[in-house]
Amino acid sequence: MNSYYNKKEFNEWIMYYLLDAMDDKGSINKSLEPEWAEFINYLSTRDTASFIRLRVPNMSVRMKTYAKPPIKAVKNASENIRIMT
Amino acid sequence: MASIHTTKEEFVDIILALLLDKILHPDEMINSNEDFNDMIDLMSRRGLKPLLLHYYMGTKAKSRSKWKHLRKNFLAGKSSSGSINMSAGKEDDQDTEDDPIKENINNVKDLVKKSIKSINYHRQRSNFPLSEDKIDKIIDKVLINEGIIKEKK
Repeated sequence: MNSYYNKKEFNEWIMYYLLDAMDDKGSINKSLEPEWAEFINYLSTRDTASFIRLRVPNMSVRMKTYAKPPIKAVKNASENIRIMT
Repeated sequence: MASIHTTKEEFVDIILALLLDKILHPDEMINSNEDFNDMIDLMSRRGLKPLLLHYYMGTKAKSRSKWKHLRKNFLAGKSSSGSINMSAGKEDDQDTEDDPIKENINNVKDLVKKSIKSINYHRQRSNFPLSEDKIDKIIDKVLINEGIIKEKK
């Protein structure tokens, strides 16, 4: 799957990805490096999830219309992400 | 266009390297997204910098090299594009394109090509042969544009 983002959208994508990872405490984090799981757990104890959730309404319509794509993309590891200017 | 191939393990390393870079160099990195900037600010205030630094130091040299290759696309004011191709393969299954040495060689090749192109451009517009100093300046300009070196103030 090819996904094209401009840089602003890619920043949003990262925020979305972190939010996804914090929500999905089980599967994806454990399948990756323990340090990543540790980072996500630490992040989730520092109000970051609620902070990002508050900012979701500001995200571009294109980003909001996706139903949690980042975590699926990384889980399936089948994404071609192109960051355009 | 910088293009990197990653596994999902390397991909998260790259995301975290980007976050750390943004915390360490907030003005250098792209800053067009206020919400993202605020999130980075929050992370910084909540003491995530040492954790990210620790994580970054523990990542494989290959991941760090890939981030460095992609980084120039995230510098403020740069109008370049990049691509991240993620595959399910483990590190050992990667093709030779993921070899950091080969990536570095390709980076050097790109820089040499850009320098030659720029020198030719200036040569065509000059009535005299270019001096060594002028060639040095042209190469420095290419390196500055690529984010390899910083402009002297």
